[in-house]
Amino acid sequence: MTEKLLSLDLIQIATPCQVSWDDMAGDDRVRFCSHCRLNVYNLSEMPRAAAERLVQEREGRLCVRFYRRHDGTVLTRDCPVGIRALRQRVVRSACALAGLLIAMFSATAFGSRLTRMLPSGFRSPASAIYNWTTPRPAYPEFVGDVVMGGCPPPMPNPVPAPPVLVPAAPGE
Amino acid sequence: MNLARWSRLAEWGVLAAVVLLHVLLMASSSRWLGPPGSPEVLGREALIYCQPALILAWAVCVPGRWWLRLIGAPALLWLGLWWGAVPHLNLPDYDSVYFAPFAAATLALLILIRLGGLRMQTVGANGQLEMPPQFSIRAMIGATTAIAAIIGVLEYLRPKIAANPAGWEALLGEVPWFGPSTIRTLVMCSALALVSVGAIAAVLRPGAVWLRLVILAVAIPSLAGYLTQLAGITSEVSQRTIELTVAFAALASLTAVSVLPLRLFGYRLLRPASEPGRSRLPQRVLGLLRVPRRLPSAPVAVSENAS
Repeated sequence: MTEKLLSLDLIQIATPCQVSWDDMAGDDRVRFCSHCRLNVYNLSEMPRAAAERLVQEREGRLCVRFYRRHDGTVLTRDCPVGIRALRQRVVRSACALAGLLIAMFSATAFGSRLTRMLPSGFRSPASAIYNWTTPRPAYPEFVGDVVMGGCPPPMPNPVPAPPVLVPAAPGE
Repeated sequence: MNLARWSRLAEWGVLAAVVLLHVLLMASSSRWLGPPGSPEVLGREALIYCQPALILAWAVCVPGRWWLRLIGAPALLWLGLWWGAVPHLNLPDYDSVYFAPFAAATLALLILIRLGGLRMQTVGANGQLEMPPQFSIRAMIGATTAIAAIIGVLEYLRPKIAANPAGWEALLGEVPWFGPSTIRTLVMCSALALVSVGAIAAVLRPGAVWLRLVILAVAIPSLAGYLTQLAGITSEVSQRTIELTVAFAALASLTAVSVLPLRLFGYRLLRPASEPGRSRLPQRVLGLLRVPRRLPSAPVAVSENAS
């Protein structure tokens, strides 16, 4: 005859401990508390039957850690809601990984084709930012004509000719 | 089938892919780069702004040893600056002048976020609990007021921003210090900071991501269009808007992808639930007005140890 197991939902904690789970050494299921020098069992990482058996075997004299819902029930590893959430998490992570790898692969493989769709003279991000922050200055407009032709070498200034004295005409 | 193990494997796979992407972008030689619009160029130039934003977000919003962040963040930023200045990268028209204003604007935004009560925390460490979205009327009023104030300041500065430096002054190097170019640099660096921090918040805030990504996808072209119009650009308006949109989108995408592993690992940028014994001003006001306190909307994990 099988012995009836104790229901996990009936567990009461007389004095909740404040020692951080993260500071204890061990895995997700069992960790060692250096303060009490005892193993602490995470019941929420065990199937319900295993957790109940553990509590039954130790007759309640053990350190445990568990998540309790607002309705008082204890969350265990085989909880259907938890399994559904875990499945969603697997799907989400796998989709993220696949999406990232596909994006990297397609950017490498089809990047050049996508680039051709951009307008000619398209600037890269750094160039676009630089172009926005440092516009080309507007130079003042000049009024005049364009002169084009060969430019001769510069000539020395011509020596001014001495003034020519013209003798006055007779009778003036 | 051990679902937890497969989930962990996929999460570490995403982290490895993101690290690989960063390493490839950093290590790729400029000889391998394609034309200006090619994905590798977009990624590489977005990385210049993405990495400082990530480093500063780590320094400001992530809990942990404060002295490690105080020492680590400047060292990493210096490394980023050094990498950005490596000559062989041959970045087009990139100037390290943008680095300081961008870092300052990002830091200011992140400090504002932190002062607003948001910080990085883990939720659903076992994959069994997820937080619903957090919505606050006070935050919404603050955000809309800030947007209105920023637009007001920009409109006030519009004549200065749109002014093209006079030809002879620019030619002779007599451009005033706080002239159009300086203001434009500050505005552009603030816009870049807003885009990168916005991408981090879009991915890491609790609740569905897709709605925030849609908002980001609408906000980025709007911001680019507004900046083009603000600068008084009259020629090639659509092309200049597209270029800025692509630049902002590249930065937002790379930043969002970079923080995605954190979301998968269960980290969220959230407003922690107030402790029951701790009296806070809004709660005291609600108490005086006899308004019942809001019940916690998330299933709170109760951790108990007994000996």
